[in-house]
Amino acid sequence: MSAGGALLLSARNLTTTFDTPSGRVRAVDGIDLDLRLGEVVCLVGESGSGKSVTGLSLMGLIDPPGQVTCETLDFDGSDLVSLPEAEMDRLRGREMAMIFQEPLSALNPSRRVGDQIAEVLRIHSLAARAAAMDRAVELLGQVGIPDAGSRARSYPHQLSGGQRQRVMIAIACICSPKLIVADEPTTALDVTVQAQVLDLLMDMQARIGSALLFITHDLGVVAEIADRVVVLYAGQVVEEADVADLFGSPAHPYTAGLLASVPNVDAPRRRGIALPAISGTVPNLLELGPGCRFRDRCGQAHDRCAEAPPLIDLARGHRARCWLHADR
Amino acid sequence: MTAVAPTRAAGPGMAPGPAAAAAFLAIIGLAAVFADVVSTRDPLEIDPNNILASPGVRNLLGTDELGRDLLARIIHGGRVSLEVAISAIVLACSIGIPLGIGVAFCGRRVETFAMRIIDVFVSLPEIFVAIVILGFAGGGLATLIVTIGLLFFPQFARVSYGMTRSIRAREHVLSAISLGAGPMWIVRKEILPNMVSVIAVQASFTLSFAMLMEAGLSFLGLGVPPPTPSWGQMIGGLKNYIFINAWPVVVPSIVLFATVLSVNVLGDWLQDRLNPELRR
Amino acid sequence: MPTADPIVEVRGLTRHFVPRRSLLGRPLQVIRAVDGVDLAVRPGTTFALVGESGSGKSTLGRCIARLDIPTSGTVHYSGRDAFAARGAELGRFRREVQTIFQDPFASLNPRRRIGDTIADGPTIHGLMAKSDIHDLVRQLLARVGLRADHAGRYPHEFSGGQRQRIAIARALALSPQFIVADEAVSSLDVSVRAQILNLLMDIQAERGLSFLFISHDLGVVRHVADEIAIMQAGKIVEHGPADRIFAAAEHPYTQALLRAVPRPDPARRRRAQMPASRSA
Repeated sequence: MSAGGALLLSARNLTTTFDTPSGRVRAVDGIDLDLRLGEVVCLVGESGSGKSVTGLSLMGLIDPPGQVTCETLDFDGSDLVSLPEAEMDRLRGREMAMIFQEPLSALNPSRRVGDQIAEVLRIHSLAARAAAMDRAVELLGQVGIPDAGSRARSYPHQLSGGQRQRVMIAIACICSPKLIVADEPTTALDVTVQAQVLDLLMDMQARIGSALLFITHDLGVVAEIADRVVVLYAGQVVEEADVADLFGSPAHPYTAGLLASVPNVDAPRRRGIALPAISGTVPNLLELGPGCRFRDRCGQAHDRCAEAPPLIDLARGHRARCWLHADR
Repeated sequence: MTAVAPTRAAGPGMAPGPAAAAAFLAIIGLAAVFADVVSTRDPLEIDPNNILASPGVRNLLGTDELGRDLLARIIHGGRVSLEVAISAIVLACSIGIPLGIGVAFCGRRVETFAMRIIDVFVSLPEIFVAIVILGFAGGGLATLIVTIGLLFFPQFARVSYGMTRSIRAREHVLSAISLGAGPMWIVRKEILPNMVSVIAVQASFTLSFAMLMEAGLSFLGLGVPPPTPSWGQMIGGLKNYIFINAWPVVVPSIVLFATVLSVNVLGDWLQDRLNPELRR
Repeated sequence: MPTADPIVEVRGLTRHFVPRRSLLGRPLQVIRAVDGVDLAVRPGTTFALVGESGSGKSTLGRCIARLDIPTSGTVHYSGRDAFAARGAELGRFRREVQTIFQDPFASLNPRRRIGDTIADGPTIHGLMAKSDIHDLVRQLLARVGLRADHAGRYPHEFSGGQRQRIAIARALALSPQFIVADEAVSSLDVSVRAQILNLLMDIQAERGLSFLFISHDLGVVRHVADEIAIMQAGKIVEHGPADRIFAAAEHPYTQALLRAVPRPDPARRRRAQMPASRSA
């Protein structure tokens, strides 16, 4: 059914709401998620899909006016829902780590990168100052920064974008966490640098054996690295499958539309023929009507779509939220 | 990517602090505008038999060292203080904003040179310069307004210059240029509308400085000429009698303090409202 | 296809930036953003400029659109030197050469209604009567897939894709001949990208426009480009017909770029998929 080792994280009915002047927004609306050690799960979506918020919710990084609720949120045997904040702090950085999209803002611009990596060890009392710094330099070398000893004394702005992201990966991996959540870590990078950083991330993840939740909108990257894919739309899971199944036989019209609309480098050019595109725009989360949220943009919408479809099981761990598969 | 959530819920209406400040300023403002109607007694009427009185039935807030009704003087003084401060700010804006925008359109060398001169102005200790100028120029409300206005125009020039430069780099200005817009169009349609909110906040804060400057100068006897009341002048006059009766000097002090505080609180609120992206 | 004269021809274009100078004005550091570039765009075609960050492609695009002044070299539009143009000829250049920018949030003035923004071009050039401009705005809104009543709204009321449509409408208002699309779809959601690309291609076919399409996304370029130039560190390292470049790139950098692009096809991935360790 699914690749990967032991079940690490299990979330049921994860919901994250935000109170805005215009009303309460359900950025994440009842998501179920299972993550296993050693497995790469890609969370795919566009703006308004809730993918970033999902990552932040799992890490416990949502502050008021946001609110996270769920039926269960089990991480490695602990129930995260009832965990006091002090315990959550102990988990973060040590058992669960996050890599952000924009390293220039995620790294402290006024501290040297070596210090920032070593700090993780010291916060969790895993090493004293000198030993922590040694380990930081070692890790800088592992993530491919040449001349790590002297580079550790650089400030973030003295490094390139790709190097900064490597530093972020080092910070995330230094305690060998069981879960790594990466929120669009390569989106802001050049494509050649992206390939290197992806390779590095995959390498580190394989070495540590952690579960990787990789949040992205880039289907090419998903095809490159994912074991399983979860597709989000307007805060809900609309499809989830093994990567080969998702690309080979997408079950939800949104997934199919997305795959068709990505221009492919290898496809021959056909002048004058339009790219298959999904019409319309992502719905306003404050104005969601009843029924399927993709209905207005779906070429195959029919009467039954006025009623919100549940996630329907297809074969082999492939699920889709669409009435078209209701009679399986 | 669209922002997912504001980190602070920006609800409609005001929090109690700014609301109270706004209410207070409204009262001061209305009293100032309708001073002749609101104040039942003549602020200039001397009563030697009733000097330095504490609040009572005859004089609601007491009297000053010449027996003049404090409440009446507070009300009329408020009008004067607000007039001077607002006029000075208007003058400062009229000079500073066009200057700042104009300099931003000049070449590199002119810009650097002009901004260094403005920096010199900004770093001058204002009260001393004011004392010197007023010492030479003599008294009078007009001189006072012009002096204060001249002292504050560099700030507006600096803010306008900075904002013009940053707005000019934005893509919607590039778009306008590529459509063929000339500098006047760009200033009118692209730059000014995007500057208004920052200037408004700057003006509100500078207003409180101007009020304090006028109060300080009047306190020293260099500002509003007697017998026209102003809060600073009242404080200056009444401080000498503090050991006879402390109450009279406290009255204008509290009113000045409350007004400046209200202006600042309202300015903060305005800043949060108009320029949320500049927070933190 | 008969080889017509190129609509845009660039020769030896160089753009240096000097971020630091010595006290005497000598340059201490020179950034060669664009370093001796030649290119030519044939009428009615799409010329793609591909490169990673720092390659100089955006700077080159701005120089061609006369939004930035090159250090040396020439840009010829319709056979005439774009930078020598003055007065009426400059006006013609500004009408016929338009730019669509990357950031749909920054390229529209947040304080103006979009109907006014779209009308800017004809208004600035004084070409048409007010009522005609009004009609033109409505036509353009319809052409880009928006509604006429959207004209009274502000940019923040629209999504990224819709704002880009507004930017396209604004560019079309002057009936241009040549459009520089600077990463015009890079900031958009995947599902919206295809819509905007289709719109651009339709408009090109309808009006016989020429495009300079600047992008880092080879997939997008594959779909739209007739001719491609690859830029690295300010120079063009390879150029030619799109089909040839994609089929048989010669320069190592081009080959590296093509190799690095992730393909949406799991069968071709480089990473081995984790073997299933549990059964259903």
